[in-house]
Amino acid sequence: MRFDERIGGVLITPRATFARLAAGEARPSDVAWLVVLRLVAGELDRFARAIAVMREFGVGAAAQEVLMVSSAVMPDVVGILAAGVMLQLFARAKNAFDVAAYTWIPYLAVQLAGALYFSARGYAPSPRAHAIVEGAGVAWAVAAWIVALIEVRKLGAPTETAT
Amino acid sequence: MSAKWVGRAILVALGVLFALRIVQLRGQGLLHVATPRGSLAPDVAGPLLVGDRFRLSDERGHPVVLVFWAPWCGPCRAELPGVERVSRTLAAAPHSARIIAVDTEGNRDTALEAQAKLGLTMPIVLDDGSAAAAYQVTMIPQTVIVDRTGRVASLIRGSASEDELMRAIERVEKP
Repeated sequence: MRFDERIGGVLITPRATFARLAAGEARPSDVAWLVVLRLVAGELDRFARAIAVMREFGVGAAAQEVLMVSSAVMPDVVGILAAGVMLQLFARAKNAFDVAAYTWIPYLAVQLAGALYFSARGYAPSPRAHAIVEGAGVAWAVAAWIVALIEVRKLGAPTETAT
Repeated sequence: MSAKWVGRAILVALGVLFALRIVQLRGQGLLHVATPRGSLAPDVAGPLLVGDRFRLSDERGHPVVLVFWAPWCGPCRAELPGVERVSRTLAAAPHSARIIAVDTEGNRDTALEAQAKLGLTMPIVLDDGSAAAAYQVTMIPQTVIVDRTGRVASLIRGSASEDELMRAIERVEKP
């Protein structure tokens, strides 16, 4: 599977894709790249602000600004790590951590759709709209995590029976 | 629809979001700091916590130090006692500068509580958000020193030590 197939497969054919990812086709760098792209695309205004701040206030202030911007993806990173730890606990597969990272992709897809919608409309989402987008993203990610758990366990089951 | 195309759609969506942000950035003028050194300082006007009203444009002829803060901001509360000491030093000759604390929250009750707790005697202006917006205050504390001609002379992002603040003020006070 190629990069785009792995990303898209998690969204439209999750069972088959997670089965293949669990079988060894998962690439840890896939999600890492997506997190970086999401940070750059989603927080571009704040990065631009950091450049402006650097010109006026110096590198130290700009670094502080960049750190603040980077914290925007901290909940995503914590979520990915938590999904990995939980999958490792429940499935005990060698690559459970890598597979779990892909369960963040549905959350990213919902976030992207929301961000595009509100950017195109030219206004910031209301707290209620924001909560709906967050909730939908988390719900889809949790569903993906459950599918991943089932597929990873399925793959591990014959080996456990044999031993 | 194949997985390949959905994956590509995600990447394209990221690219579109990137492009939309650039268009918005150009429209908002966020690619530069609104108040660079040497520029005319935007006016700050608002009710004082104690007293009548403050207007920066009425203060021409002597330097003014604007300290943007909020009662809920920990680093601000840590910085303000030092700023207060500098303010008291400035009250005596040969100094001419005046420190104004700009409360970005603009809530009289919380400002009064912080004033009492921190023992502040310097003037506190309650900002309705317009001053913070004009100076693009995205983090607090932030200090802007305006010279006697009403131009931005110095900017300090984050907490400033008493020495750092005093040195910056003395540079502006020199004729």
